[in-house]
Amino acid sequence: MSTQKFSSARLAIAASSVLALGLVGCSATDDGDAGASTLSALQEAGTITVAVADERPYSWVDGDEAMGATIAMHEEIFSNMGIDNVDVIQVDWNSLIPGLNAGRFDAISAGMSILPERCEAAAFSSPEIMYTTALMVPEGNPQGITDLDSVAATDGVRLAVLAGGIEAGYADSLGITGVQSVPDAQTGMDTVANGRADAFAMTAISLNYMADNNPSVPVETTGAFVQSIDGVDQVGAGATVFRQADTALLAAYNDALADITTDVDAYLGLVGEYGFTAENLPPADLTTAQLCAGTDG
Amino acid sequence: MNVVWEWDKAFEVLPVLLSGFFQVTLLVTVLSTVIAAVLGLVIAIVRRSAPRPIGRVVGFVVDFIRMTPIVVQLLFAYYAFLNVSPIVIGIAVFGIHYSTYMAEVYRAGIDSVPESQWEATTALSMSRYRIWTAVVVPQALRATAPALGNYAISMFKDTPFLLTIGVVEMVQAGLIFGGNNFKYLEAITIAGVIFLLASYPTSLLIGRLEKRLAFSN
Repeated sequence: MSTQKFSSARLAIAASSVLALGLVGCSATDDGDAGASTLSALQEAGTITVAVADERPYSWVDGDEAMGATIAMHEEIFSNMGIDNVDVIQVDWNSLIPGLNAGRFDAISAGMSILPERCEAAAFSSPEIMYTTALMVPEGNPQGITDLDSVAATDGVRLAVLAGGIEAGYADSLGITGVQSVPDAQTGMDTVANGRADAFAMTAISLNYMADNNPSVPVETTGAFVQSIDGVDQVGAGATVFRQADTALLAAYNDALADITTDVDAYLGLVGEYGFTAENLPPADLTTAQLCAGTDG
Repeated sequence: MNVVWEWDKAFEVLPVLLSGFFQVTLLVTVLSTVIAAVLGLVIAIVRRSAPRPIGRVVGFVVDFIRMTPIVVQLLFAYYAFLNVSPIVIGIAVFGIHYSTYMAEVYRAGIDSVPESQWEATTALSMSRYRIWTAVVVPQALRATAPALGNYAISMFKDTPFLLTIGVVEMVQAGLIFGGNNFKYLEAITIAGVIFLLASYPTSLLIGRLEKRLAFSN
């Protein structure tokens, strides 16, 4: 009897400490002043920490050096905001938003697509990069594939997509069967190169970058296209992500970003060397609110 | 955001998991169990009655398969047979891998058939085929059915390894949902509960089967 009492008391202590942990976790980001203080604290420190997830050519860490299009953009923008130093840490893709909300870094520099579910969890800046889709196919494109509609229309084309990628949803909507799922872009290229799949669908920028940087791999990319599902063009755009509480930081960032996205030359001057073109510059009338609501611009 | 468990996410992920469960996990388990049960019996009979060199070769292959991890075998087959779809590779590898275990179970079952039964078949000058189909296998199966069932459950619990070869089974479907919604705990917990709900009643059934077969022996 006494041991039972003892163990239930221990259980109560354990349960309450779990609860307490949960409460501490909540209060850390529910601080009302956090919005204003994060921006001023970063300006005072002169350093902002951003996270990347090895998404080439958007952002990655090579040895000690951070590289990529969004890094180039962020070094410029944050320095215009009075934050001269951008510290970069590399994390797993799926830890980006959880890590941001846990306070491990202050922004996500990965050209993350603006999607309704993600908007519920974090705050997105104005659109920075327009995404188009492309297909990686074996050299010579033996099946003559041009886009996902032609994959659906051609018999026996084995398509590979990133697990959880937006292209997986496209393939599903188009009724493409036998779709293979790969964990990362490198594996996607390998599956096409070794003949396990006939096409690999991903964003055009990433595929072109991979094809250009691996000249010995016998693959090529199709032209970029905007996939249409049920007559609706699937417009995707990537942006920088902040915590929802950091409203002042987000507003200041958007102001500084606008100077670049309204000027094609300034935009391409920063990201052109990573294979971006004027097509990747978001149109002025596309807003984050539209993309968060799930209505395409 | 910091709520540990969200019920609405749990209800959202449930249909995703169930579709992965029925379309992949259960399908692979059932087909692979059939392959393993049939191939395992063939292996056991060959090892016992085929000429010694053949039995030795089969024995070596069986040991080789049993001594290497199933993940390595899945990846090997995935990269070796590029024209075969990943799910077919999964079914074949699980079937062959577990057939080597089931062969050992059959061997024990065959060994448990009393020597007098073998002597009787000789006395009746039965054909090889009749000895196996009419006398040995029916008696051996009685002793082995429960152990075979346990291997089927074990295989069922190994199916998440399929995610290494790009097959979106229940757990992988849950992880993808988690990645898109930043909620892993709900998906993983419910996947675990589905595994439990499927394997626990099966193990009870196997327990009853074991008792029933034992009584009638």
